[in-house]
Amino acid sequence: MTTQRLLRIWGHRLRSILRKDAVDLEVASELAFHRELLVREQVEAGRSREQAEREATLTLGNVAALQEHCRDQRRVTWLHDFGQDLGFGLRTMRRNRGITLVAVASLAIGIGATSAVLGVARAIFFGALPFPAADRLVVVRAVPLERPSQQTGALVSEHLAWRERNRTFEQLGASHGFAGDLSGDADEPAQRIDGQLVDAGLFATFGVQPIAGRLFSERDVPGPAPAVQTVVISERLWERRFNRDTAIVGREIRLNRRPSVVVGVVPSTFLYPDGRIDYWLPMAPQRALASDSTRIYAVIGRLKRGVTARAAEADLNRIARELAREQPSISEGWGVRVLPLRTVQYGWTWEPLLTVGISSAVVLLLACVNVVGLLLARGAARRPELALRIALGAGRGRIVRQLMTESLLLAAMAGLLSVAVVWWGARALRYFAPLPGQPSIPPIAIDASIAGLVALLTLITCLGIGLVPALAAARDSSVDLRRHCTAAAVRVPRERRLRNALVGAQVALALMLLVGAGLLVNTVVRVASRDLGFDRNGLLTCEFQITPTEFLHPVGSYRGATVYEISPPPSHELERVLDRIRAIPGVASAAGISHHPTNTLLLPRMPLAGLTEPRGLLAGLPVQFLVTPGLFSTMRAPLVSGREIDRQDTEGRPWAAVVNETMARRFWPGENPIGKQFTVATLPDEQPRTIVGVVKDMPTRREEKAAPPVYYTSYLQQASRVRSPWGGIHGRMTFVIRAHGDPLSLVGPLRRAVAEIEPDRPISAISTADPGVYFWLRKMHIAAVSGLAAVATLLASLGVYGVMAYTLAGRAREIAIRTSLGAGTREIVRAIGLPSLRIVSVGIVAGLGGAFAFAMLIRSQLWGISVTDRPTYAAASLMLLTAAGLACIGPIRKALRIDPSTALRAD
Amino acid sequence: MPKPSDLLQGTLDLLILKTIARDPLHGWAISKRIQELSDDVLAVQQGSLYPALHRLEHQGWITADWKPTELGRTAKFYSLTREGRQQLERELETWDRLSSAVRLLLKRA
Repeated sequence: MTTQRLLRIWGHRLRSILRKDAVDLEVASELAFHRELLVREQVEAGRSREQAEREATLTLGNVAALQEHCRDQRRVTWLHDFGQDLGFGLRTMRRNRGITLVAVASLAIGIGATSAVLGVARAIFFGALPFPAADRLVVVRAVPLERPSQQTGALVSEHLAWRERNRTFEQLGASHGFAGDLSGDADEPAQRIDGQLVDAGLFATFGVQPIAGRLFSERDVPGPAPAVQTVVISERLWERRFNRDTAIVGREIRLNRRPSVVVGVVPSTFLYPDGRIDYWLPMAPQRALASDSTRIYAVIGRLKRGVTARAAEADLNRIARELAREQPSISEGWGVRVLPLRTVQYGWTWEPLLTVGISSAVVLLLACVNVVGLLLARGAARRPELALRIALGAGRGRIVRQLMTESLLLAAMAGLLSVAVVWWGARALRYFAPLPGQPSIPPIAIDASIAGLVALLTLITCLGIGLVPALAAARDSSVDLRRHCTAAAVRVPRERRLRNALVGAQVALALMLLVGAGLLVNTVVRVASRDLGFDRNGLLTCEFQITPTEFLHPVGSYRGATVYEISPPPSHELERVLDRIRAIPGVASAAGISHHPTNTLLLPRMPLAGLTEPRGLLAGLPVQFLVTPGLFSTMRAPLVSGREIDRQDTEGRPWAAVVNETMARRFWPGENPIGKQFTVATLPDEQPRTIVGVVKDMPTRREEKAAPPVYYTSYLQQASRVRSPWGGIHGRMTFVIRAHGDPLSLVGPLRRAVAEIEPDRPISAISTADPGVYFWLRKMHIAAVSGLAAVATLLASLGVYGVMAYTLAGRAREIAIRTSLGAGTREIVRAIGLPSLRIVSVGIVAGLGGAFAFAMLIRSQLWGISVTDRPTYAAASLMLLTAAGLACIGPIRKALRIDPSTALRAD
Repeated sequence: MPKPSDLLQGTLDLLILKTIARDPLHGWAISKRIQELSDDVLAVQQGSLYPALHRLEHQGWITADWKPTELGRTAKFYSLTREGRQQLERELETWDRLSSAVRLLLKRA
């Protein structure tokens, strides 16, 4: 194509755009000239002037259409049309402000929420984790070959063997959780912080770079002689406790009452295993080998390039088989699982994201259906106008284009608004509570991919809301103009059926979400308000710990496991703190227990001798708690029989135990357990314990359905040596404090009282025993689903309102006739209300099916409620019926006010 | 008399280009000239003619000038551009090929 021609073409186009009126005038004048010549020709042929004029008009035909055709040749008409349609659309919207607002807002919520969930899911499951080449990071776990589902950490010996003999890993590292106490100083009280013992490979595996100082190397590994302990701290702790002091490297802090030198600071982007770790200590794997009996080490690895997790698993299983031969006592029967770090850390997000994502998509669908209903109604009202425009020469395509422009306008406004929803939604999603030990959702930036998602959804929405009404209008415009100019023609049965179906669909979709939200909310309420087996009002709990290294000393091994001597027994120290707490004004009573009674994930389970366990599974082993005298009376936990552990149960007396109902039922079915005996089968110096009482079941976790078997023993009646990984419980105590008034008013005095006598050991995890609000916060996604269900209900009732108002507008004459024939209010309400009721009912029936499907999908998140909980389904249906009923009130009242004489004369 | 739609697609463009190849003409004259030269066999309706003219103009094949006419008012006179002439050559070639092919087929079939 020559440049000259190109210039000419663009010259024409520009002129058509910029001087549109002039160009149109030229076309008109050109056609007028043609017409003049036509007339002259006729006159010359001998016709009268009048005849000639008429003939010319007939020959030329529809001049407006012809002009339109000429205009179409300019190739820029779409731009003009678009501008025109846009202006027209905006005017229409301004006239129907309320409807437009609801349509745009609901579409924006749908688009925004769906994009936020999809964007977050994309970032989590496909995006970059905050570690270099994160896709090669895997978690390595040991699994018992008999029970492959019970994955655990690894032994030190296993970790070392994997590290030395593997062929598939670049790096392997191990860590082990180790909460510690950071001693207080002049400015700050002591505090409990989460930490980890790590080997030198851990940071290398992740490729972490310190933001100050250095990370561990082999020379930090503690030797047998007491040396200075080195510690790496988190950026968070550096900021919170040390004000980002630039001289932090080399500074000495007191950790677990040991002087420790800070050698480095790890950036806050290092989220392993979660964002709560504040310090890292080097561990000595070779020394840990001496007491290598428990699989407590979390192992992480970086695969070599191109190696799959499966191949790595096969490689490590080969080593596992070697170990089974080399050290059969501890490694026989164990295999290895290799899992992507992403799955392990963020697998928990799948369920809440799926739930909220489906809810958002349902709201978007519902909003689309709603807007389609609105546009159809408007299309029906505009049919005379459209018919007129077709008669005046507008092509079918032109009409479709105009209606699509309006949809585009609605969708585009919604798309723009949805960016705000996405921004807010992505923030809200971060408050989804992770499972313990897993990181929460990382901050998601609104980047090009999310913007693309919004654009894509907006486009889909535009097509979704635009096509049906536009095609319906184009199809109906084939019917002739005269029919369309009468009001009666507005009611086309086919279209009425379509609109009724749309309203039914809205009701069904709304019901689906309402039932889902109802089941989830019920779950929260039931979990939060369940009978915990004690009086939770006025209780305050907090944790206190004496570091195990202060009182556990390895003295040898027994049957392959390390035996520790407990010296000095920490119980006296704990009792001293408890006595101080009892002296705080406002404390009615206080007692202690080794773990939080109803909020603990991992509890000590020990094999018992002298009992036949019905099913010898690990999960069935009874749980042990140590308690101080008076625990049950402080908690007001009712004893079913016998007595509680009291001040008489001291070292020199026969060892006593209290069991819960489940334990009594399981081991002594149909018998009175009081007076029965059992022995903790860990060491020969354990004494038999005699059951002195049975206490009511308390769930060890809120969500736990049935309490496990539990026995309670006194801190004072314990062997002086232990042989289990749970030796630390002797130094742990959760204080249970009953207050005279508001338990929270005790928090300050409590902190001060403990700091007074224990400057190095802080109390932590202070909470009331009634964490209702706390629970709600943890269930953020339930709040999100509830909010979306509310939006859905609102939309569905608007849909009902729309169809009602529209039907009534068409039936004004009929109502007028009925009224003038003497029909009362009741008859009229019945005549106009029944059809709507029928639509809503059909929608509800259809929705019940959808609701059941949704409930099945979320059933793993339900607690204490069945997926077919009838009251929930009934309440949700009733709620929708009520909302629909309320939506009908306005139109019905308007119908009742119709003045027969005016209405009948209207046409 | 065949309607314009009976004309092969693109034939109208060829007729117009050829008709104004010698000197500039306005729309009316073009339609008359086509009718005359074809011995009244081809008649181009204004409903097809003017859109076609505007299309060709916007494709850059022809250009238009407003000139006074014998009737005393100005009219839009269309003439070929340089590219239009080349286009006409191409269209003629195509037409020749096509019509001889059709003739050939009719003879042999």
